[in-house]
Amino acid sequence: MKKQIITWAALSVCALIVTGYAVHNYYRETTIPPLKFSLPGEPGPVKNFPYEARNVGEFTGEVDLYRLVPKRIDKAKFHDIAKKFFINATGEKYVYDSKHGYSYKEGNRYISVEDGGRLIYSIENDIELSRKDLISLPSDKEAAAIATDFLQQRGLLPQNFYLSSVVEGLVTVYSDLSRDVINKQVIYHRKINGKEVLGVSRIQVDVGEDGMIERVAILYHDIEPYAKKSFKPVTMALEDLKNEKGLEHFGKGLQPKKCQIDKIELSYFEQPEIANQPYLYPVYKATGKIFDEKGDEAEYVGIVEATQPTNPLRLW
Amino acid sequence: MRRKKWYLAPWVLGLLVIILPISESASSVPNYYFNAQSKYLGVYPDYGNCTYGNRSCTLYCDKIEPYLQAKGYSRASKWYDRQTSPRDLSDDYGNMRIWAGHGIDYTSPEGVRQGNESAAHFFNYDYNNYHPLTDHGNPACNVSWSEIRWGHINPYNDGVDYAVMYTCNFLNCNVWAWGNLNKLFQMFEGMHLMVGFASKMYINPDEGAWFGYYLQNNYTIKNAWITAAQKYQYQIGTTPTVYAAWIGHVNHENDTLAIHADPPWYINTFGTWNYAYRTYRVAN
Repeated sequence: MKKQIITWAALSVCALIVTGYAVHNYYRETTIPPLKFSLPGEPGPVKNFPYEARNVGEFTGEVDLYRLVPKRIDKAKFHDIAKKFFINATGEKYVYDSKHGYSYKEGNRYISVEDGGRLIYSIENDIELSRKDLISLPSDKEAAAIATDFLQQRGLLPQNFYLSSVVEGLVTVYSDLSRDVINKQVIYHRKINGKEVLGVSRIQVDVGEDGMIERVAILYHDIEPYAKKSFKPVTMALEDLKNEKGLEHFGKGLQPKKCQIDKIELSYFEQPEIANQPYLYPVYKATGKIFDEKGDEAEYVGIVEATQPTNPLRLW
Repeated sequence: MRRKKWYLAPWVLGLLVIILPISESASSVPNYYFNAQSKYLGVYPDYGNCTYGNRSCTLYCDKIEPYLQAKGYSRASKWYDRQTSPRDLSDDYGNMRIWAGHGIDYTSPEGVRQGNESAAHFFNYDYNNYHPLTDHGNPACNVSWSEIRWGHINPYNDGVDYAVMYTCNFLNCNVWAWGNLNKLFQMFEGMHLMVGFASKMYINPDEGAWFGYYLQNNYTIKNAWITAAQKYQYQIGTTPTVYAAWIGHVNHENDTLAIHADPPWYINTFGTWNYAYRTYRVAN
């Protein structure tokens, strides 16, 4: 009899633990706030046209959702980071508040490090208001090598970032329509599980005259696995896009009569605010074309949350 | 003889009453002037009836405000939603002017109606009249480059020194569009610096808090602008790229809010510009 009671008690405790774990997971996965995009400050078209998608496939099963992990910068860490940019910010030579983290200005050099770890370093050189044709900028390849070397030597280039492009950074335009490139921007983007991360997740390094590092922006958070989420059916995602629940880009110059989606990829999206949106959200990135009534076409990109708001209750 | 001088006293007092408030308002205490619209699409007639859609622009201004005040700036005016109209934006008050709202591109059909100029878009023509859904491009509800002439000293303050255009496209000026840069420069009639975007951008009120924070910490205005924008503007894995931009007089491009000199009084003429127009890629 005593054995039976013990067995039943043990089984009850196990059942309670399993159920508790399932309920805990359920609530954790269903209380994640929906992805809320910043919206563009320019008008989009009136949405009185159909969205069509052919042979774009469907995503089934579940996808990992990650939580952003702040780095927790303290005074000593801030000093160490500043040193990497040749800034001696020891002593009390900085500004700190809990909202913005640490910030310091030394001459024409600035560094700002958020509590979560994102940082921007910049140098401001006076730029003459004259033609800079003779400016000795490195080639794209040289700029990329300089930037990569700078980041790697300081341990600032995580493995999941890749060299995405080298582009014109700061440009001066003159009233005679000529223009000068003042520096080149080397951009690194991030991939998680082979998927591109959109939003603000990036590292940008501006390389100026004679290879000088003029600006470094490290704009990502570390992540950790947090939950598994069920995919949203593609048809539902297209409805969301149509109902202004996504982030869309319409090529300029025409009023669409049709939006044709050619491809849907799974990506991730990182928001700037760790306080409000502390997750790396799985998103669908839909690309295609819009057509007006004359048949003229322009590009289309739509980004929308890829997961269902609620998950089924499950015991694993 | 002395009694006759007392006769002048009321006149002297009267003159002082008139002069003192003017000299007070034209004092060296700088001020800011907000115009912003958030409720583009609301319940007519309380808010707008504009299909461009609501954006959290008034909150953007609110988040900058404490930092400007910490820097010694006082509020000149703060006009939001239907309290503001195109006429308010084109006037010449406030040392620092901030507009947050929708912006149209000079190449768009609406921009073409502004004489091929980019513009700040309002949901209303004036305080009581809202544009119908079919009239976004009416010049009466848009403030374009040609309508802005900022920087004049007037009896109420010493002119607009800095302008912040938190909106798409206002400083969009493709090099192939001959004459557009001159139209942008013509907005400056004593103003030091204008910051904005030369492309599409994404509105996030928290960007205002960071912009203000950097201003308070003595970043140059242009660096505060691009640093905040770099943190908040999105890349979507393809075009469009987000370009921040600024135009600054050659002597004032590196101003911080700690510097508050009276703007130079001049009106530029074609070919004698002393301004830098720069664009900076903040997200790609």
